[in-house]
Amino acid sequence: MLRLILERLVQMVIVVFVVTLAAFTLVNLLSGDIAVYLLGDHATPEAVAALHAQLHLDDPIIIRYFDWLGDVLQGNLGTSVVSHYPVVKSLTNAIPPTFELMIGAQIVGITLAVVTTAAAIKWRWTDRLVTGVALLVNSIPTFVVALILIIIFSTTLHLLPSIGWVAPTSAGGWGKNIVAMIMPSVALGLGIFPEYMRILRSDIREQLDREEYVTLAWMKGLRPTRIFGKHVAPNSVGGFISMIATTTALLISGVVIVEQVFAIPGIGKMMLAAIDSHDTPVLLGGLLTIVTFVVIINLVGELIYMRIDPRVRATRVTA
Amino acid sequence: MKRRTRLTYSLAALATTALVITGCSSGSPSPTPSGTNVVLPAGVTQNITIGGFSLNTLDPGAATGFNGPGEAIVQNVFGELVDPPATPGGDYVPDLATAWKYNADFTQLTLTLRPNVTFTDGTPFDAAAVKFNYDRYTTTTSRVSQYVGVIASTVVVDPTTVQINFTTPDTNFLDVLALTVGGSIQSPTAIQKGADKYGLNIVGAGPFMQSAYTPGTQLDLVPNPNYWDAKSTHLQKVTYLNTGVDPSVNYQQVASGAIQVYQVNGVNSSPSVLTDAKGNSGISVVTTDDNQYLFLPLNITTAPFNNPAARQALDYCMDRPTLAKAVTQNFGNPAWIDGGSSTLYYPGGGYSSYPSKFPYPFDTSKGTALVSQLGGLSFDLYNMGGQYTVVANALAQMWKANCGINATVQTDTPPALATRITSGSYSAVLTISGGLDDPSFFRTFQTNTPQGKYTGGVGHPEITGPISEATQTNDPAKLASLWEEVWKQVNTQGFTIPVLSGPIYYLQNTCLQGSQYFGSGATYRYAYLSC
Amino acid sequence: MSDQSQPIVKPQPIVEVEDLWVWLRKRGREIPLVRGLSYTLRPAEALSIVGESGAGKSIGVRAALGLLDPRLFRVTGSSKLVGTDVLALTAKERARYVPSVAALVFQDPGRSLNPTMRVGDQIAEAFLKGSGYEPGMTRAKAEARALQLMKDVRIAAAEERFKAYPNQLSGGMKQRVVIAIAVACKPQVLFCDEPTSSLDVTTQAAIMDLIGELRDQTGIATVTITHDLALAASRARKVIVMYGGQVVEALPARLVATESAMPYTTALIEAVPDIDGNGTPPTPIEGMPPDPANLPSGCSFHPRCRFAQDDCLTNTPELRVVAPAHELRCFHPVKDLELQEASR
Repeated sequence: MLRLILERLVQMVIVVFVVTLAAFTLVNLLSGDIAVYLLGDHATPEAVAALHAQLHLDDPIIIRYFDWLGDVLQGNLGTSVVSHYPVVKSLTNAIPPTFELMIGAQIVGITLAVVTTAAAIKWRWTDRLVTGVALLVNSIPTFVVALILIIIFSTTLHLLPSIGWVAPTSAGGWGKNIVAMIMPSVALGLGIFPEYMRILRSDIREQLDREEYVTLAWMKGLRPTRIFGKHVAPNSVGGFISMIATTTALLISGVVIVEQVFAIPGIGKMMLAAIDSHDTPVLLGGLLTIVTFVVIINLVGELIYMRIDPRVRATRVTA
Repeated sequence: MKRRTRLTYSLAALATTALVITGCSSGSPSPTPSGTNVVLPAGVTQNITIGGFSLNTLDPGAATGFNGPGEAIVQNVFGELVDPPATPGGDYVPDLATAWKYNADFTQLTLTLRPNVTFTDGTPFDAAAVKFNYDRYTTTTSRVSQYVGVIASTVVVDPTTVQINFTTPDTNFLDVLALTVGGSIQSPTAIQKGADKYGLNIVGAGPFMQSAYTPGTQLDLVPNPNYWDAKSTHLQKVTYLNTGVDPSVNYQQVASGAIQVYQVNGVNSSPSVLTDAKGNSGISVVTTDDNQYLFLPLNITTAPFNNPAARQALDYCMDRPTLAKAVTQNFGNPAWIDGGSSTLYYPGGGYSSYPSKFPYPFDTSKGTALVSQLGGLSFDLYNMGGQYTVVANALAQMWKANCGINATVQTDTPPALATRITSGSYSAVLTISGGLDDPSFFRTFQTNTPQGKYTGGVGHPEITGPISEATQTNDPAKLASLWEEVWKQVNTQGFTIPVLSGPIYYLQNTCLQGSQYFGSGATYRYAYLSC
Repeated sequence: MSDQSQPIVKPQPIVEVEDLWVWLRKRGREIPLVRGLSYTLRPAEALSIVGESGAGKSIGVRAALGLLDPRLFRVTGSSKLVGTDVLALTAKERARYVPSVAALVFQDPGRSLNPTMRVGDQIAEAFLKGSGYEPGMTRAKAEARALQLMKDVRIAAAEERFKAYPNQLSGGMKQRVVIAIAVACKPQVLFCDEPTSSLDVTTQAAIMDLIGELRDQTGIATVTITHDLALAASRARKVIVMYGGQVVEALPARLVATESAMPYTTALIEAVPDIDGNGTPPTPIEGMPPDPANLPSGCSFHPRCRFAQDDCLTNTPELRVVAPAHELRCFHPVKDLELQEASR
């Protein structure tokens, strides 16, 4: 297990390196002259030149990248070139909302997937219904889902706030915070639930239809709940958890959209603004956080999978 | 020289992807005059949230990061030296300056400052502070530079008297003070102490002061208890929230009551939210003056638009009223000059009668003849995406169908487009400008920018001459004849092609009363919630 | 009748499968997988069902146990286990009844144990939560019984293996655990679905010996499915040969080598090394088993039959008794048994 962790940490370093280098290059290649843009139309050529020098824009990209990397290795993520706000501070502001949103989305996605899978396994007509609903939900873009939720629950029914973030330290406390998170979590969770349900449903179906240990359990005279709880579910959990871990990475794009719609000051929003204003330190700080997070989540998923499923544990140990 | 300013002006919009300057509000709820007693309803928390903004820095004097929408915000913190006239052509209204006086040739403006005013950090608001700010604005490139380029020096006469000297006569500087961030006076102590982080924590002497700020996310303002007119301020909290750029989402946020104000531009936004908002009894749609305009700066230094026939063909083949209906559902209007229907000194006897005098009116046979005489007309039409692309596509279709002109619509990011225009690597760009009724205001933007030479801003005294003269007079009759000449020249030469104009619409919760929309500002110093 | 080992008064049958049909529901069609399977089994009897894969052996057994999902399969006929037709029971009743009288051992022991549960727990579970439950059962008692069962099925170092996960055991060992689970609830009939085909030869014999011993000791009846006719003949009293979902020949095991008359059975004999003891090399059967969705006309075996004649293509043969305890579905048997019988 220690070896696996070390292996993943090395992978993480490589992934972080590649992703940030690619982002750095893209940000600096695709745009116009950042200095012209930042300074506005009335910039004198001297001012543009001065900003070029200040931001080292005339140095080769690779040199600038390694300058940045060197600073990061010393624990310095720098400050925004636009607002001069420390990147670390931006991140500390942005991580909690995004983290909460992702947790909320996972709760919604997993709950929906488990409930619909249970229904799909139990009756034939619900199977058709939930697979149909899942297909439908899957075909609606997250943005539209979010907007529909706002129209129904905020504009029409006035049940839920359409601004998705209330700091738990503010007057309303955690109560307001959680109420505000409901719609964003649902909007994002709906996007992942069909995939969760598809995998979970086919996995359980597969076990019920093909796995002899389920038949053997039945032949032991066990109750259906016992068969499901002891012989089916544990064999689905491992795969499901590793899928949740992989989905976390895919959630990021949805996070950007949901944060925009519900005005959540999270990492997605921060990075989008950074792209708009070509704020390289902020963008890279955000990327660094996301990549690290994704790699760690995957590692944790893998470790849990190993813990639960002795087959994987055995192959890992002997491998 | 003068002609250049107009492109410059558009670039300001380009760089910020939003309006530069907002005109005087005509249809806004009548501003509650200072001192009028408002009976606030019991049990209503006087907090409002304004959506749509993304602010990276709050200091308009910062070298980078201050954007157009920021202008509408920071005036609530800095206040204004003078307020704009209540009606067009009327007198300016005293604010942080109580009196002002031009010298005879309009090269010097003397301001008398309100006594005993302090910034919220305790620093005295005096002539030295004003001088400190203008010295700063004129020596570093910033958002404010475009407005104060005319200042030669600022002189402290006594603690409440300050003289601003101009390099050339300028009859428009009161507009700068009243309508733009050019009138922002910030605490010198705070600026010096804050250094490059000052923009995170601004200090002014206006009706509100900053209580919390997260760049790009949220700004909270609370009333300044020591504001000279503090008794007229009713709101307890004004929050500017980054609710994203999507109009339909923001409309829902207003409709649900999550935010109280959202601003929609009549020419560069999809009209659907305006239609929705008009039909929503909980939302009042405040219409400002029609002075935002979309236009096409043409690069006249290279083919095809170095040929006047090519420029004329674009005009002949463009059916503006049909376009206005198709892409703005008449929330915008056809534009015949580089300005909207509210523009002062409109040529040809006014907006409604001018179209018949337009030099190249819609005429497909003349247009087709010009195109065939040119042996075809093809070019790339650049834009910033979103609704700009919608308009650009409609234009391209119109030109193609009417006269066989091939315009290829190309979308660029704002920085890429800014760079493209600065370097002259374009034929035609669809972009936005405007914001003020007074065309003389363009004069303020004469700075030595490189892009003017591509659109006739350099080397065309028949245009820049009358504009320059217009900044040296206050005589309405003389101004009208000067501008008649400017528009005649601009439209005949066809260096830029006006497309559409329209107002800024503010979608407001009906409970919100007393907001003031003028100049580049939207101030809430007298605003309150009636329910 | 000629089988002298049978007592005069036969005990009640444990298994009576009567005209069992199974259809697979597939895209609105129903594909017949088992067509009219019938057999009877008394205590301590051993039956082998032989055939190639796809002959309907496994599905027939699962249908007889009521294990098939009614959403996927349609089953008709009757399957009486100890006098009760399990096909007439509701799903709930069946789930309680079938495990109390019957048990099933699977082909692949690697897949028949829950990988996430310790093997000891999987056995003990039958006593604690399953049909092996008796009043007064405790976890300690259940575990003690499970351990005893592991010893009974000759799992070496049973105490140690008790706590092992399935993936830590060899294939033969796993199959012993499965058998232990199968017999835990003291069933009266044990169905074994190719119980040894995934094991090596020595383990095969050991497992078959174990099943035989259980039969001798407990009087349990066994139904063993296999594709190996030699194994079937050596370990059972009666052999049923299935082809295309039907029984094509049924005969006492001791007569398989000498009396088989259906060309398919003889082909199976030739395919097995040295069942007839004459040292001829095995001859594989040519052609493919029939597709249940697209069965041949007439006799299902005719396309592969060396003895097929015109009537085999057009007429469908019925299962007929050709000798005592010997049934046959063939127009042109390899040996003319009726003639022999008549001339005897």
